[in-house]
Amino acid sequence: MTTLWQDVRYGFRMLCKNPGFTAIALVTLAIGIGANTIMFSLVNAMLFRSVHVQDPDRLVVCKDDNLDLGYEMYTYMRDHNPVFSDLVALDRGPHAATLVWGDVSKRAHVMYVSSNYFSALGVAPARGRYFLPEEERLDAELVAVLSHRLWQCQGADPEIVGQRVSLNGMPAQVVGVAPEGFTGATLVGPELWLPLGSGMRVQYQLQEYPLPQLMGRLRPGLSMSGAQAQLQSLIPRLRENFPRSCNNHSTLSLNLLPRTVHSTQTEGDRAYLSGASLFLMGVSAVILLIACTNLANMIVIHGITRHREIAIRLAVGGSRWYVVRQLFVESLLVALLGGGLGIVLAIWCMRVLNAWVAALDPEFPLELARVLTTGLDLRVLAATLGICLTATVLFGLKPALRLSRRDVVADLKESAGGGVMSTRSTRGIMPRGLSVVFQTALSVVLVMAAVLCTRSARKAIQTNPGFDLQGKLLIEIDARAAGYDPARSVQVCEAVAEHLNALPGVQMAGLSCDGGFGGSVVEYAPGVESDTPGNLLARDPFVCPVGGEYFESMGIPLLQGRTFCRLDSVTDAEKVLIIDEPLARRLRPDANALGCLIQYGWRSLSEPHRIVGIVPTLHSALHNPEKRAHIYLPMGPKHRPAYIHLRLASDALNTEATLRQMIPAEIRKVDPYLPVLSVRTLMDCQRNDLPVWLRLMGARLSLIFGAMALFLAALGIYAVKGYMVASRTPEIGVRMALGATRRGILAMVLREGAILTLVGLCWGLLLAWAVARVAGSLLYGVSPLDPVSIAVTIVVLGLASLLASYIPARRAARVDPMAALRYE
Amino acid sequence: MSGVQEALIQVENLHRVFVTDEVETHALAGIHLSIARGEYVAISGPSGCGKSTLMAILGLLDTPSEGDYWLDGRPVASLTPSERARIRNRRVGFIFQSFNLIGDLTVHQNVELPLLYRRVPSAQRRQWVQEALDRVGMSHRAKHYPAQLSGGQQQRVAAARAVVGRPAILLADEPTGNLDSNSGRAVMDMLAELHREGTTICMVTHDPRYAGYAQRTIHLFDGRIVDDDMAVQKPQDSLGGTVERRA
Repeated sequence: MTTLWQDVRYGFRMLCKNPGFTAIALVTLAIGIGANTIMFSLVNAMLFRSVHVQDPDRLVVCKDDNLDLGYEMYTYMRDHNPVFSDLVALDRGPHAATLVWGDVSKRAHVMYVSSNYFSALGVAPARGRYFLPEEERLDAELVAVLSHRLWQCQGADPEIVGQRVSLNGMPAQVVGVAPEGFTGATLVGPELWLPLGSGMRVQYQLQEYPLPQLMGRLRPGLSMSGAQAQLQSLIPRLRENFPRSCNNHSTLSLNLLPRTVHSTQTEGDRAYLSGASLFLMGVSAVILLIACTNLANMIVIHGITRHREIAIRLAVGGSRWYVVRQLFVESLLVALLGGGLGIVLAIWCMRVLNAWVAALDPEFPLELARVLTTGLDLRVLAATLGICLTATVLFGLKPALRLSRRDVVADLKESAGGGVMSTRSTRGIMPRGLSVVFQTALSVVLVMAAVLCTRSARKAIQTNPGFDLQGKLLIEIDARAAGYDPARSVQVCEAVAEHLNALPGVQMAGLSCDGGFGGSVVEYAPGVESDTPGNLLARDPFVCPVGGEYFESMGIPLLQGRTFCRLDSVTDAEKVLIIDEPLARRLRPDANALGCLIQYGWRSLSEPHRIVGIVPTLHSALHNPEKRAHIYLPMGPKHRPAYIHLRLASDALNTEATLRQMIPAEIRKVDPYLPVLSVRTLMDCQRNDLPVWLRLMGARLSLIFGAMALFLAALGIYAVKGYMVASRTPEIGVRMALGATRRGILAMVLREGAILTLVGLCWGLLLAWAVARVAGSLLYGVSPLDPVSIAVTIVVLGLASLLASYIPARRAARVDPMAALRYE
Repeated sequence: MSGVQEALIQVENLHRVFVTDEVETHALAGIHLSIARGEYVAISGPSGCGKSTLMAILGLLDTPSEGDYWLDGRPVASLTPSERARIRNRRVGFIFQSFNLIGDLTVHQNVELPLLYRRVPSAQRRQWVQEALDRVGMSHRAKHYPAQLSGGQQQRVAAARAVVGRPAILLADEPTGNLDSNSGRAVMDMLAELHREGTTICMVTHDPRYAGYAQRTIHLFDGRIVDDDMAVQKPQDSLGGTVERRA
């Protein structure tokens, strides 16, 4: 034990004696451990975190095919199936609804669920109760269960149960609060749950049940295959009881609960998230690989430089075991200290990451930030620490065993002059050189990924939507929540827009409604009737009712024709619309589409509308990549304005923040009951758009990891070049004795470093190209072979390796030839 | 200064002090020395007397703490590092005790090295290297690596490298120190041959047998010249010839 303690103390002394080696080894370990812990914790949180429900592995999704599944069929299945202990119906949400809670108005996400939802998931309420079966009825009074987070955000009132809130203008009584962390069966949950029967009433003012999707908990002891088989036995009974909804081709199938962020998450979202997660895991694995390579090099080099000391130890009677143990203890010390530093780095980085996420939280869609806000995953930390500790100890063991087997006499004689210099060291240089090439190549991949992701995110933000985003404010209102019918809504909103238009700094105010997809678009030719009119567009157009000043307030230029006037909204007036340029080209490729008549619609077509104006197409960076056509209708008494658009005067841009603050008060002056849900700049809307935000986040992470890789590679190059220079000191002395100038020596070392970098760059670019092709779908607007990204990568890597080589090269150039020759 | 002009090497009152941990070591303590063109001088003395330090200063690898040094009539004190490197390359040839050949380079490449630094054209380089290797009898080993040669052969290659640039003076620091007696004798014969061909040689040795090859032997002790013997007759062979000396 005493000897071991001596080894530890000596190990510490050796680490202090070689501060360069110690610092590089510790930093390398810390970055390797820290980076991997953060990345895997993040991916784990996004993809593998379990939901806060009882026994989630027993939950299944029941999918129907050729089945017109309604509420009654659900209740029949719930009460007559041999498969599920609980069968839950839930609406395909969450839906956005206007929540008014005292003075607070906000857009909240609501999910409509059957009354057995919470009991099926096995969670007890934090406050109050969950839904009663009778509250599921269509005519029941509205009741709501709040998420723990919403309750906390609104002040965590202990007397919350029994209080009333308003949802889309309808009063609802709070009956309970869900437990902390409960998000339902998905990683992100809604802010409120309401009974299934109220869904259509709150969202669409319809007195009917929504089409439910089914989720069930398998009966105890029932296997998935057994459940699947037994479920089919239900079909004949369904056919018998619901002959109109169930036919011979109807089937039911079971799937395990997918790990989705939210229930409306599409396959595309899932693919993007999985792809991004895999990409990030790959990035951190590469960092770990570079760190381990670096570490292996450092320890082997450090071992080689100590061969004489080891020879002396062996010569004075030290056993081989003693030498191995000593070196092993030193490696272990490095591993433990580096591991500790790695944990500190991981915790710090996690805090920074969470701070970024928290900064976006208030306006972030679907509270995805909750998913990304993650803690340190101890399993991940333990695994990464384990890998690094094992690698360090193994790397330390190899030179220890080798050194303990060396020829003691030869090692002791070495300083007396071997005659031929650098042959011994060059044996080690080639693998070291190869490791530089390897690290450089891996770094190229990460740096290029970082540059590509950054450029992709910038493109996503900077995509010109067809008008200038600067100096535009978007005010989201909900007149329905204030209890106004559509006609009154238009009047109120027009009054508000007029009032805001008069504010100093506001140049123009316009109105628009929530739009929707328009189905088929056909040209109407009077007198030429066709049963199968040809659809002009491959994809449904986006149809949006807008006010007369909409285009001017958004800064969308009018290419042809005119904008809407007040007469266009009069009931008996001719139906008119404005279309965008691509639709105009489809309609009249070689002529003017103005004045043409078109119809649109899903099952039945609308009345013919005359085209009175043509505007440019609007590009939405990530939502409208296929450039869906736009049709604008004049806003009439049947429409309900949802947005007020303000265009600010150029000299008012500095007062944008002030205006944003005063607008809610100004709106209350016109109508104190009109809920103002948000006041945002269009730039913020663009930036907080989920796909854009995800790409920005990805770019930030890629940049950080790219910088880490670059730093590690530079450290690796520095360490290897430093070792090469140190082992070549006598040779450098000879070269100087023979007439080499200091500048010549500097150039020689730099040249050798540049060759290694160049080879690494070539391999790395090939590798990066292959990776970029595979991960190309994650990029937006940037080719995997983007010349700018390639150029930036080459320059950054070149400069980093030049700097890493320059320091040892300068040391080589400063070698005192006398000292170098004496060294030999 | 006429004497200074005629001598290839002239040093006056040369001092070299090394300071380590506040301890001053006087390696050279007032050396006065003049070496004429074509002369063969041996510097001998016990270990630590300053032989190698003097050699390093003469070869412009080190600078004196005090004193003056003229090489070929030109003071070297004011030379920049680049100028010193240039003079080392063109005017001085080195032979080291431990050969100091570069293991990664072939014999040809080792010998070629000073010419590369001088930017001699390729064809001329090849010719000079060939001539130098011929002079030391090593041209048949041009493509070998140093590790494939014996110690004596390596020192021959080192000598070829030292003379390939046709330097004004050849500085040899214990050239036989790492060799057995047969190889040592062969190297000394080679140096004698080079001297006969007109090369100025200054050799450090502590072996009186090899010092006898030189025309003149300077004895150093504690950083000072304590004896300067000029041989009147060169030895006929390496060990058995009669040597007369004058003070």
